[in-house]
Amino acid sequence: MRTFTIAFWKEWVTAIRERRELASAFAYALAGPLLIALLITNTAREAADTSPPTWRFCESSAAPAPLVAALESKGILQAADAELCLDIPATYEADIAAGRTAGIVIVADLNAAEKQARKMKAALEAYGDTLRNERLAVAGLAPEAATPIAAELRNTSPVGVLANRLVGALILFLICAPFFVCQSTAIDATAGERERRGLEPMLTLPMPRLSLILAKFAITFVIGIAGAFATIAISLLIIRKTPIADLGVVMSLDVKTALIATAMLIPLTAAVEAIQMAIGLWSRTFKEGQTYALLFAFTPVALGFGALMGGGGGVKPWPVMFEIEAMKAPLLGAPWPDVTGFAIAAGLSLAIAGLALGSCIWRLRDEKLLAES
Amino acid sequence: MIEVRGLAKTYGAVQAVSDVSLTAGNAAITTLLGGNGSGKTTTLRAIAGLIRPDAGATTIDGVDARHDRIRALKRLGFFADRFGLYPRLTVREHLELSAAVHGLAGPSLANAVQHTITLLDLGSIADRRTAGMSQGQQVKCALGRAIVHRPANLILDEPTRGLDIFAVRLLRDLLKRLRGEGLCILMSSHIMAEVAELSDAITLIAHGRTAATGTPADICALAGTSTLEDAIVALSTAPQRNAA
Repeated sequence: MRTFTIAFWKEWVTAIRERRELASAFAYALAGPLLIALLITNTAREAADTSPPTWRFCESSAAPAPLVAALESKGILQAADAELCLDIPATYEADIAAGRTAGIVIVADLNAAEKQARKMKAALEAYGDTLRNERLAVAGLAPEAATPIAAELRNTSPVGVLANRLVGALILFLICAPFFVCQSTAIDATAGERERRGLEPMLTLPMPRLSLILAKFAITFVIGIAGAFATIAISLLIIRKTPIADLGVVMSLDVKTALIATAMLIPLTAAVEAIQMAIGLWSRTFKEGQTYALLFAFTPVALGFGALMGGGGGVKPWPVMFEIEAMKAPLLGAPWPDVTGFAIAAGLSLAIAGLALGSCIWRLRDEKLLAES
Repeated sequence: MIEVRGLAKTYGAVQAVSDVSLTAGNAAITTLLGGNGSGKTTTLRAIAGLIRPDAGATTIDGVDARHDRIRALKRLGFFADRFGLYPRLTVREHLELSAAVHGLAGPSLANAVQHTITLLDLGSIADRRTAGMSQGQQVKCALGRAIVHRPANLILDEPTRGLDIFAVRLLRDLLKRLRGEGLCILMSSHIMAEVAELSDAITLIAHGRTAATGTPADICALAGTSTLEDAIVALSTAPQRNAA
């Protein structure tokens, strides 16, 4: 215990004095929430936009008065600076009169005015339905005869699909925190120290290798958890300022939620930091270690996107997959996963951490570690 | 006392040492001599338990670091050839770290650290971080770390490398003083003037084997030369002999 405390002090002083490393670690906690908040704000603004589109005729387009009147009756007015224009063929009125299909092209830059274009298309289709019904009535047919099935979509989710994906992305972002926040510290304490030839003097001190590894692990774990808490707390703080409620999302955004969510990440953080240390000790240089750690950090991204795109499927007790589902409980008020699932996921994470730390101790016995990088 | 018997070590296809034996006694400075790649660092690392020999045995005061690493290292101060200083720790913190791991605490730790700072003339840089320090300052810090706990045995891998004449003189006086206090000092060096003045005994390693052992005078007599440098060159190419 004594040698652990001494080694911990050395690692702590070394870590906190490396301001660039700490700054890069906590940049994730600051920059990420801002991006998510921006996404939420934009999505909410778009969702709240119910204003009718404006339009104009394209050059050389025909200008049928009944169509203009029908659109105006829906509040869809012409404007000289409108982003979308209608290209109507000269045969339009003749086609309508003859009972043929008249084509209208909506011309727009869909990157800038996709929503307006969709609204215009819907308005034109509605006008087309009216004309169709008139034609059927003239032919002595009830409009219902041409519509044997009327299918309707009714959303039972309290959250819209897009909002659901946004919340999923937010949870994934929070789970990624342990992977990114402490990466530099873990690699510097292992591959960096090896590159600086700092392991050799430590190994010639009368200190158990276990103390040295546990001290390095404790530092990376503490910084990892602190970074995860900072990421979660800052995210919730920033999201409070966004119109997330307009998306129909009810989130718990207080300090207690941040603490519970952080606590749920403890076993995963232990596994992640231990693996990053093992990666560092099995790498020859800091750069090599950082490259492998970065590749490793894509694990939750890949798994998370898989879960996000794949939909539900229940809570799986695997590290990362478990946290993705379980975090919905404190954040969104979803049902809590059962204790067995939590125990399996936590047990697996801690077992992985134990194996990774064991490989670190094994590596410290390896004389190749002291060979030139 | 440090003893090495029949040490052999290979790294893949490279035979680093094939048969090295030496005894470094207490109250004496024993120097390990040999060309680049002759196996000096391998031998010193094997004594400190940093590498596992393929054959042979190494002991520090009768304790083999392979079998009881902590007990052996408590008897040792080790100065590595590449220093391995922590750039974000100060000189004082380096000394405190080493002293604390060796069991010192409280006033005895503070006294040991201050004594070492004074001994090595480190006062002006004691509270500076080692990042950006000159080679000489780094050598002194690494040396301080190796002796702060007053070990019974001291291993130094080329300690005079990079030192100016003032620091070399300081080191020379320090080693003589430590020898006078009864320490067993085993060092490797390339600087013949230092070796001739400081060494009570020399072990010459050539081609991974002990080529000769004895006092500097014995080594010269054995080689039939008037200077130690000539003797080392002559004996490095000759079969193994024992001058003692």
